[in-house]
Amino acid sequence: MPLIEVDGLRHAIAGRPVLDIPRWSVEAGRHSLLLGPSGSGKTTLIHALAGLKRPDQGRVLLDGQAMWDLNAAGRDRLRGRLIGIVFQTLHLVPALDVGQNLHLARWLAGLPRDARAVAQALDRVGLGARLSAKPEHLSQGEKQRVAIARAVVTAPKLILADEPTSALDDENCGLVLDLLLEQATVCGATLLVATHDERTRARITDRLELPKLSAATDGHAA
Amino acid sequence: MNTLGLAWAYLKRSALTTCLNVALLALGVGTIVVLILVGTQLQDRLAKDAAGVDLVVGAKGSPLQLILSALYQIDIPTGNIPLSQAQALAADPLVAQAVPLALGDSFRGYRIVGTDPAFVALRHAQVAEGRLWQAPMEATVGAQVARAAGLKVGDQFNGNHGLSAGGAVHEGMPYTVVGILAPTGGVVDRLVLTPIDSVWAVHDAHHHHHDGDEHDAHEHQAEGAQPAPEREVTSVLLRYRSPIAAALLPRRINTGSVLQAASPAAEMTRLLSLVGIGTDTVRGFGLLLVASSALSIFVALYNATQARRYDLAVMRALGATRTRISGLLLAEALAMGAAGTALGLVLGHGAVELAGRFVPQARDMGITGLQFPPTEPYLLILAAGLSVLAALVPAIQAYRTDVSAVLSRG
Repeated sequence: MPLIEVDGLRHAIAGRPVLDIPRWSVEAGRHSLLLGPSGSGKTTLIHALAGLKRPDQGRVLLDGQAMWDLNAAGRDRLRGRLIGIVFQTLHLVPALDVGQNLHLARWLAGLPRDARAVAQALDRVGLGARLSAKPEHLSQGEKQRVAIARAVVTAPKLILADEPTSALDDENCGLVLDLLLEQATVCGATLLVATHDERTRARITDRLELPKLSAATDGHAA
Repeated sequence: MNTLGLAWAYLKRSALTTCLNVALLALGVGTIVVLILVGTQLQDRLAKDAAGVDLVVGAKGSPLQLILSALYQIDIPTGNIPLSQAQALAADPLVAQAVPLALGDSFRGYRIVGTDPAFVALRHAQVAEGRLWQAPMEATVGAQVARAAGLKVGDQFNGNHGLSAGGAVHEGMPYTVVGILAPTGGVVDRLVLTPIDSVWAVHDAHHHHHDGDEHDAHEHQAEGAQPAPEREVTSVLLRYRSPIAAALLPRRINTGSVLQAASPAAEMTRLLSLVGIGTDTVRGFGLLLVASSALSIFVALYNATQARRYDLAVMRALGATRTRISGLLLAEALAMGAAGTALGLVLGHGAVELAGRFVPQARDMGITGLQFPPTEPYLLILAAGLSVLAALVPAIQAYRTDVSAVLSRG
């Protein structure tokens, strides 16, 4: 059964089309790449799937639920319950320590406090000892791993990763992809990695190639 | 993790700004609390000390001065009046009760008041130990006088000439303590009560001893020692027999005699309206401080919302509803408001309590910080309301944030 179903999805930014997907689906538990050059609508599609950006046209079904038929609070709840997101900029909440950042993700997803789940998620990314560290005291690599742990601590059905490797060297690119795949497998989650990084092609075979529809973009949500 | 925990984490991260905002609010709230406490207790005290007295009659002069000196014992009297006129007032059919007062001396700064035992009943005082005075040079002392001077029944003391401490001691004419009054929280606690004859006798002896000396008229109120046959008293406290007396008696006294009649109610209203201008100014200043702190909280939250746009967008992406994000900002404002108000209440009550314990004038007035006026909850509501108001614009801003746009910009 598909976890993601997209039907007739179209979106334009400032009059320029950035997204046109007649039909696309991803089966539950599969790992897929969302490939395309900068400005091809990868982030727009990720945001549309997550209920953050309403597309101009089309339907997005997530686990059988029409995301954009829900009201704002309903979309927030569905996102919290089903999706874990890894952002390109990672962005951990600086006022909270590592453990609290993971607790925050569970709380925002409407899940009960579970110190064991948080500790396990950190252990799985090799940061069990950094539970009480503040984000500013972490290396970039550690932040990346905490961001992945935060995305999986809610046991999501779908992990969305937006350009998780574009700023990394080859070695770290491989490590992050391995970690994402491993965590998705452990959680039994569907993994969707949006990237223009050609190095990822060898690791994940399922893919949706997004063409660049407009010659020029303003770089907004694309 | 919960909204308050998250709010606390953010407040802790900007600890200096948070502390300054809380301190600013606390100063404003504390100022208003002090004014409310002192104002309420002062008015209660003034009303309590004036209770049961419809009219004060004394020598011509300032009516307010007459009331302050005779009723509250905090100003010098306007002069003396002949005893015969005081007796005539007592016999007036419009008068239910007339209690004479003769002032002139003091003991360690506490006034010695020559009067009759009806004064004790008029002031709703009761004897705690011993008895009321009966013979000249016997004294029944107020609770505060006994406590401050360590007086016990049977002790003797000499009065000082004049109403303030430091006057010449009346040697050879000691008073004997025959009773101590129970505390009333009123002016009677600070008085030494004795028969009028005592005052006359002391001053007869004083003038005999200092024959030819010149004295300040205000410091010699109950002049009984002059060779003139007429005795004098300082003032008379009157109770009306019927309401009609209020319309007739003051006017008759003020126009038809050398006496002056002053109504405690009218003079206190005048006094409070005069004092009110000052307290209104300070209260306005307190409100200004509270408003400034609300503005400061607004600026802090507004800046925080700008600085934390990505934080808030990430939280939304993690599943936070818009209401939850707005609630976070409201919680931060309310936490600052609650902390500032609580600190302000502690500061205000603490300052008044300390003043009541260590400032002699405040102690004499019975001022305490351990009283909680019914208007205080409104202060809490005001502070909470202002905090919510301060958070409103940032909360709305956070509510309406385009999460996708913020995340895309990074």
